[in-house]
Amino acid sequence: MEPALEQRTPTDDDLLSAAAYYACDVQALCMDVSAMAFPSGHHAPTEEMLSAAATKMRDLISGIERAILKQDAKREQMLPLCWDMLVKSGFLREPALIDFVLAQFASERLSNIILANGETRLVDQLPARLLSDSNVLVAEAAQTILASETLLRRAPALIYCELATELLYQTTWRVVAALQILSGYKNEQHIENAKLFLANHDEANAASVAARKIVHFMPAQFSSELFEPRKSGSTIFAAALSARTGLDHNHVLRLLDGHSSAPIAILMRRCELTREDATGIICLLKGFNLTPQEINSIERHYDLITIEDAQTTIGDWATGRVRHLAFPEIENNTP
Amino acid sequence: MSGAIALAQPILVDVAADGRLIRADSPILRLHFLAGGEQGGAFAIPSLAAMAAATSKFQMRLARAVKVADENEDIELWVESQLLNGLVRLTVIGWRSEQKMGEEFLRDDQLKGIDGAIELIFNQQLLLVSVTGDGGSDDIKIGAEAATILQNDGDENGALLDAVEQHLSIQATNVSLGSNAQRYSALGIPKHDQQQMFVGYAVQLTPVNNSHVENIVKTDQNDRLFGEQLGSALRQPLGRIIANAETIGSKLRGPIRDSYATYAKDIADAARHLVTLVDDLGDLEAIERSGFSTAKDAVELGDIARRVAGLLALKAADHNISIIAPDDKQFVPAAAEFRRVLQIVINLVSNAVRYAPDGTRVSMDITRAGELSKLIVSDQGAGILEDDRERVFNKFERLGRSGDGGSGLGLYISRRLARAMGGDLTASQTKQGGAKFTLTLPTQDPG
Repeated sequence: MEPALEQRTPTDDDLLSAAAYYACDVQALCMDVSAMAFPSGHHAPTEEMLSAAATKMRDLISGIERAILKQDAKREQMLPLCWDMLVKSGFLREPALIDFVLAQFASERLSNIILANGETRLVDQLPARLLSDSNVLVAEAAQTILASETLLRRAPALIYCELATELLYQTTWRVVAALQILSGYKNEQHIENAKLFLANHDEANAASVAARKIVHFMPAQFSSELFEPRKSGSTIFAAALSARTGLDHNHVLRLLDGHSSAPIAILMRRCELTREDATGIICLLKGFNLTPQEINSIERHYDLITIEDAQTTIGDWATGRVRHLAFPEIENNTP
Repeated sequence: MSGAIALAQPILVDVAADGRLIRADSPILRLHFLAGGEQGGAFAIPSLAAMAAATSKFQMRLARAVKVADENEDIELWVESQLLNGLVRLTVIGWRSEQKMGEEFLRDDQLKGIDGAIELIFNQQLLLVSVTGDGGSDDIKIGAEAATILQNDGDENGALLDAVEQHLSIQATNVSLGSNAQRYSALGIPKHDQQQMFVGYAVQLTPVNNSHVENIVKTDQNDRLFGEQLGSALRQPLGRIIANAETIGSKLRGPIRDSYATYAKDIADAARHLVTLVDDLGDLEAIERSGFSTAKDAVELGDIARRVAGLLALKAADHNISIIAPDDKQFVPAAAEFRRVLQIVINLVSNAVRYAPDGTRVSMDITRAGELSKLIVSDQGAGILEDDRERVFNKFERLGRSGDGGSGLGLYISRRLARAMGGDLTASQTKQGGAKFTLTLPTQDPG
């Protein structure tokens, strides 16, 4: 029985107890110590998160499989043919794939939180207002964001449109390989269909790419709204942070949706937001989950963080993420 | 954060599957050269090259914000890519300059290794925001005014201060800093944003009596005056002239009269000619330097011929000329320096394409004769008169031609290079009367 790590002020004995138990596992020790020191910064995936990730993963594979088999939407409720094989092969435990579905989950949650906590409406947010922008490139990108949100609500299997090109390529050919093995022979038609499917894919149709395009072309009169999630909406807000910090769009979404407010404060500092603006955004995104200690900590320390330090920290996050995605550990809690 | 410029006319770039830059509109071509790229060489802008490689690998359309480095600023481009006739077509539709922060204004590599060098960065209000190096004066404090630091105490201080206050570039010597007795050579550079608004001023100061600097200048004057000093100093402004003239000529910045567009293209062509001349003079200086030597790599002449055919295919197509290269079954090895052989063959085939009539063929043949490997370039043009066949290898010899972009140094350099590699380059005539150039090199036995 491992020592219980209760939500109370840790004593030296607690730390020593954890240290003694985990002496053989330094990483676990660090995680437990951090969980005691920063309780809200450390969390396991919730049931809601796991369930949503599993559903999205099934939708993703289902959508790609249907494109390869040229099936219609009737099979949507069924499990994909290649599902079992991909599960057994371990491919569905690829960190990049899990990261993607969790980021999609985070995006939906953030969008709902901003609309609810911010007491705002979709039509008041930037994507809707930019539909009539004089720059046709901006207007088209805004249209893509709105269309993407609607499309995913109506046809979840089209989630593959949001997948990064490299990952879509990899996943598609894994699905083809699994289907070939299942059919017991080399089906040239599947290969041709897969090639056609990939050739027709356009990265520009992904909401995250469209949002990034808007940030790139953002007219000066709207540029201040980029860092106001109530006005910009979750997708453009994440894209603006991604552009300013150099972090991957999905990484930003995961950080914004994480339990701790500390990463958000670092991101806001890097973007040179005032303490008042940063606190407002953190309160909007975290709502009642904010602990008094966190609010106090942000109030007292936000201005002491230099922009250079914030950028260095963010650079470390990016490096850690790349390392993790490139040299994955086997996750036990994946679908 | 200001918005990017949506380009009225997209900038197009074509990249081959193996990463070679096939063609690019001038703004990207300029950055390619700035990044150390060469005409027809590997695409030298890393982020764009990676995007082209991903497009080629995945055979999918991509759309991304891509950052590229210019001299004093970063540029964020919005780029969309797709496969087109076996090439990757990159289409740049958005362009946003991002001024680098603080001391990043300056290329700090210019001062690396020079003892006592100082960099001063002033902001828009001409207040000091950054100082690198020790000025040895109490007047050099962050927040101090430029006028306090660069007091007008005669010599060239007055000129430098005037230039800073009027936001002009300047190169001045014998400048002092406050109470510091040390004299400096100063380089002043005003900084502007994308809208050409003044955003700050950078001053680089190098001690004038520094022996290291003196040594560099002395060595350069002796050995590499053109190739590495004047050459690079000239290439940069020429590159800008070409880029700006191309931009004006292609009406990227708005409509202009057709005659003006033609003048702009003439300016670009003239500047390109000067760049070629600079390159040739650099080579000339190198090969005439005592101790010049070449490497003895194992090269295959058929491979080189095919590369050259690929590199010059577009140029030849402009004149409806076909370049015939040996097929990959032929194998003629030679012992020579790869890039020098490539340089010679490019020169020979470029000449043939330039002077042969439109609609004809330029052929490259390879053969081995005893201890020598040969690469023969022949065309279907008017040929070279027998009396001129040696004269054509003289320095600056143009055989009476002018205005065609040649410098008269290409064949001279090519022959010198061939001889430096233990071979030779000769001119003769084909049976049909066309020009025929034979490059001979020592052969290399496989293994």
